[in-house]
Amino acid sequence: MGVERASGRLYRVGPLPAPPMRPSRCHTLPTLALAFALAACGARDAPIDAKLTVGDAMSGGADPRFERAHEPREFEFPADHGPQPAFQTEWWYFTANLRDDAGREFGCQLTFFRRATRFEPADVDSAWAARDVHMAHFALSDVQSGEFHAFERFERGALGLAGAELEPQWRVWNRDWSAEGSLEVGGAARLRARSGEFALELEVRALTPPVLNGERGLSRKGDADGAASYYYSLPRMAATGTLTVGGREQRVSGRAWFDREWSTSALDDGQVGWDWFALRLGEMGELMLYSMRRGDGAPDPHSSGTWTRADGAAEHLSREQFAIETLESWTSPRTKVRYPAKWRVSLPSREVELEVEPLLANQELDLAIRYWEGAVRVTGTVAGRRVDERGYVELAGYDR
Amino acid sequence: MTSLLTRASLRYLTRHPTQLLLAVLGVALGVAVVVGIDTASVSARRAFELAGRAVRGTATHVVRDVDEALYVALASAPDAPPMAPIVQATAALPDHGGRTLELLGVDGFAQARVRPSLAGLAGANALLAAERGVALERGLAQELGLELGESFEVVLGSARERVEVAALIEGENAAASAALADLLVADIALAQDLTGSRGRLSRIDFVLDDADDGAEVERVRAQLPPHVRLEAADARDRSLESLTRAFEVNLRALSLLALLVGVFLVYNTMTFSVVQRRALWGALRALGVTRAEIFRLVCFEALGVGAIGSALGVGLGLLLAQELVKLVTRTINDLYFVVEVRALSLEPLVLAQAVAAGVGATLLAALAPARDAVNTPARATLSRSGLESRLRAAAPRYALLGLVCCALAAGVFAWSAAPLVASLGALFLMLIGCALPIPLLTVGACRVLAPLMGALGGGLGRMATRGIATNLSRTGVAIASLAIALSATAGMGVMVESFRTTVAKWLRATLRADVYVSAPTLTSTSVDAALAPALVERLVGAQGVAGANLYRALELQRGDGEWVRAVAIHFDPRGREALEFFEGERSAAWSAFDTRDVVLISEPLAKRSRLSVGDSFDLASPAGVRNFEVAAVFRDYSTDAGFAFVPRRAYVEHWNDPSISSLGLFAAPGVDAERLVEGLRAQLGENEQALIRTRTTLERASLEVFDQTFEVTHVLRLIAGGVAFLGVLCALLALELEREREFGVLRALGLAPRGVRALVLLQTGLMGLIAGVLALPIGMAVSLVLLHVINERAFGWSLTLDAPPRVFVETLLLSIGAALLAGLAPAWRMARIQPARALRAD
Repeated sequence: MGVERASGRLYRVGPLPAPPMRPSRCHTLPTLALAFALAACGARDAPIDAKLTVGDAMSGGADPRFERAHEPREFEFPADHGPQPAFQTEWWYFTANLRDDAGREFGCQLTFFRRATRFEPADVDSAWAARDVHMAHFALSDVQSGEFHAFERFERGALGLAGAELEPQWRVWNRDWSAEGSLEVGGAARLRARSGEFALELEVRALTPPVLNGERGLSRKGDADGAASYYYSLPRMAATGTLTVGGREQRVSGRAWFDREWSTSALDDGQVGWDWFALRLGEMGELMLYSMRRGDGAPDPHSSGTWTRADGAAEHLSREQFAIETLESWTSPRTKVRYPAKWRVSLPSREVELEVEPLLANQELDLAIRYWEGAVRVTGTVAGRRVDERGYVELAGYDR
Repeated sequence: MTSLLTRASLRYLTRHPTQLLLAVLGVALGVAVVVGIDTASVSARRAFELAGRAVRGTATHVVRDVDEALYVALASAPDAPPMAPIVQATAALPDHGGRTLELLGVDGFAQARVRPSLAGLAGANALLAAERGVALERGLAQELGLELGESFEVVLGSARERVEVAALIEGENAAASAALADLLVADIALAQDLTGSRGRLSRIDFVLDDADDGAEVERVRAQLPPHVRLEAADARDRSLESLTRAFEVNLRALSLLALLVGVFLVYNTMTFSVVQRRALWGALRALGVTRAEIFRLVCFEALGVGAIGSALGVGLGLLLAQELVKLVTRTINDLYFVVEVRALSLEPLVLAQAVAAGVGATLLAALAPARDAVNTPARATLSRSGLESRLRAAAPRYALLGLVCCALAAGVFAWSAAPLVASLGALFLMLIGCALPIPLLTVGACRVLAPLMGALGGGLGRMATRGIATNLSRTGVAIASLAIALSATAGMGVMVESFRTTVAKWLRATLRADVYVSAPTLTSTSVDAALAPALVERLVGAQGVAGANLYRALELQRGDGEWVRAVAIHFDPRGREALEFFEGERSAAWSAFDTRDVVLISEPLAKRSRLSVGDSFDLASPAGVRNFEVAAVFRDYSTDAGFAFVPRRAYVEHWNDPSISSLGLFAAPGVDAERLVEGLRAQLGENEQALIRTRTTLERASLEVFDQTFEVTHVLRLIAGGVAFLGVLCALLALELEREREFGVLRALGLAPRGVRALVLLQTGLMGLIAGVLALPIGMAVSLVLLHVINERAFGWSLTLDAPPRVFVETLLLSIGAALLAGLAPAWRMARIQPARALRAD
């Protein structure tokens, strides 16, 4: 049915506010506010089309009553898996590289975003009064057939339509799309999403405790005080379950990666986007790198990374320790946006020399927010050992 | 030969420009009225459809009036189809002349899936982010003088609240803007707050796939509680539209009546032009021109008149539509639903139909004269008198044909199951049937009048009277068209008067309470405005109030899914006298109303749904279908949709809704109503709004609405009268022109110009008198048919005939006046005639 899939017409509303977020894992939440002015889906009549001009309610900065990430904090699990309503924005981000019994390869993504449009709900006599808007993205890559499908959802945080909670157990949901259960080592969480003939039903089990990114979980994005987020990951999760692609259901298993971040901050001037790499290195652990991009092409000092070693211990990587070189690019036939499509990633000090290449060229999410996020192949050598693994890459801000 | 014919035709036509002009004008006016009325109705309907589509979006199905928990459950179910919750109400803007808008409370995120048109705005969480923010169409905001960020007041029910313009909607094109221009879009939370409807939804809209034999529809249906009905999204709009259909048919009938009068005019002109050229036809035939050629020539002339007249009529009609559309929408707003027409929709089909009707009717009217022309023998010398005597001989046959037409029409009227269109067709048949005997009646009238006129006016009087009979080929048609036009207008007049008298009487009988209180809305069609409970309590308990009728206006769904208007009512014992029962024993009905699940239904509802006392009347309540029974049928003229009184006790119990939309308060003995109103107004809080009116004020207001409603009928009546006047003018002009020689002879014989003037005016006055007198019984017949056949069939109302003498006196005066006025120009012209020149023709 695909009705949740926006046709990509984005109603630009009012003056475009600078993306308010700049996470290390800077998911597209920045433009979330814009995305709510979203577009048509499957009109059956000739639509009565309209555009919208809004007042300045949306373009102001965050309400000063929201908390900001100023300094490292003590993380507490499982409590910190739950909602962080004192901050304006947060998300729960799952990606997975999977295979079915016949060796057929898939990638999938299930993400839950929350953003507060205001500090408190409006003072009205209605259960619909809400402060939060929840967005969710669900994408499937079928490597063999070369197909990629992406869906999105928006809901208000009211009446239990969408939300996040810790009790009775950890759960985030957007209507019937959900992730719930336990993210502790030894526990299991279930991911569910369905849109017409495409569905995901996965059980994921954390194999390491949470890995704190940046400075003990404080991930700086800009020079300003509070221009940072709290950011941790579960880079190593076992995943089993079923995928339904085009109505055909198959059992799959593989590896999943979980990212979790919250903040109340705005992008620095001049930052236009980011490239994010989640690369598995087999026995050598997992490598997360993000590279901020500036409009003038200059390297942004706030890029960094985390290496999770085999034993689960994490090592922070500063911008100077790694290099990412773009080898090829790909232009989306649909949106004409040009994305990098092959990279050389090197960490000379760790004897890492990798090539990262999309498993499918077209893994562009042409939704209310447009970005590229897809399964990639990781080959090369790490400390002299050959690696042929999988991972995920996100490329944001290329359509501006 | 053809060019000879054409030249002959052109020569004739250019020599008689006035006649030609009048005939063209007659067709043009008739077509103009048809175009005007049709365009106005179509525009109103299109505006309604467009507004419906703007509100519906792409929704295919809908459930109404449900708990919001149902939405949450449905939307959260796995793989739920696109659906969106709506809270809807009519809002008035007190600072903008009480302008009303449709408040649409939306969840922007769900909207995007169902109503792309509003996604841009509703989706923008500007509405969520803003404090009491609403979105308006840009043109509307400009019209109201509102800018982004400005705040303004809205009235919903008895509550008055401030909202702020948080966003402007811009339609992608003019049609979209127009469709969105009556909407006040708000976040659903704010809308629930404004309407005091926490927890409730007006609707849930669905976009369901109709593939797989509606499997998805069935899947949704299976998830609904038993009392909730999934219906097609446009079902209610369709039923509203079907209500206005009768109204539209009636309007169209009236407009066709005007065209009919115009056609008489054409018939008159064509007949005259044929008669006048008898010598020419004779000569042409003698020259070898075939009958078919002559027939074609006359038809071709008629075609020209019809085409030019129709083309003019279309232009004129579009101008007329600009004004008519206001009248038509006002009536629709008063009777059916709120709609605002921003632009006329020009439908090629409507225009084509009107042109076809104009040209077709003209051709039809020319058939008889064309046949006459063809039948002219190939001798050029046939005298006029021969024709006139032949016509006089044929008059009884025409009369007989007329009687047959009338009998056929009467048959249709008697056939109670006849569709409305058939009844209207029969009305036309009857009118034509009435016109046919008029030549015979004219001859008879002249015979009666001649001695009388002789006694009064001497030779001149006798001459005037006889002249009418001897020139029957001209005068007969003129009198007939005038009589028909007059009877049509008189009939409409009597119908409206009767209706008004009936309604006034009914209002006096029904409005028993001394003071009426309602939420200050808008129009008589709105049902959702409620009075705040605290306000109701204060008013009912106020000093000087001895008792109260409590009303709650509703739309309820019957067991079969049909929506009916209903009023949940508590009757004060004093208020019960107000209802006049057609059916149902009074005391039994009332005791049932007090104790059981019964309804009292209005006459139109009974007729429409073929219900009578004892029939079951199931109603879908939130707790399931409830079995009600019809306890009585009462007289009511408030709405042709019909409605049911439901006992308030039963409604509160089954629907769990204690709200009240209006009150009828009975004053304690000795308390003056005006004084009581002042006392009650003092009870209103600062943010409270209510209309508090005495019975007399309400009665006056109701009659004002009634008069507004019939304004469009008055306009049509005037136009039909105007066309009739043209008809007489045309006929008389032709007649007198032709009698130039006759008057020359009279002048030569010594009749003074003054005498000629008197003769002409006397004759036309007499014709007016005859037409007026004949119009009276025909007008009565028309009004009887309109009242007892058309109105009952179209609207289900039984009305009592009330024919005020005023209407008849008006008709007579109009008739004679029009005839005299039409006679003025010929009279002066004839008086100035030079006998020698007039006679030289011989």
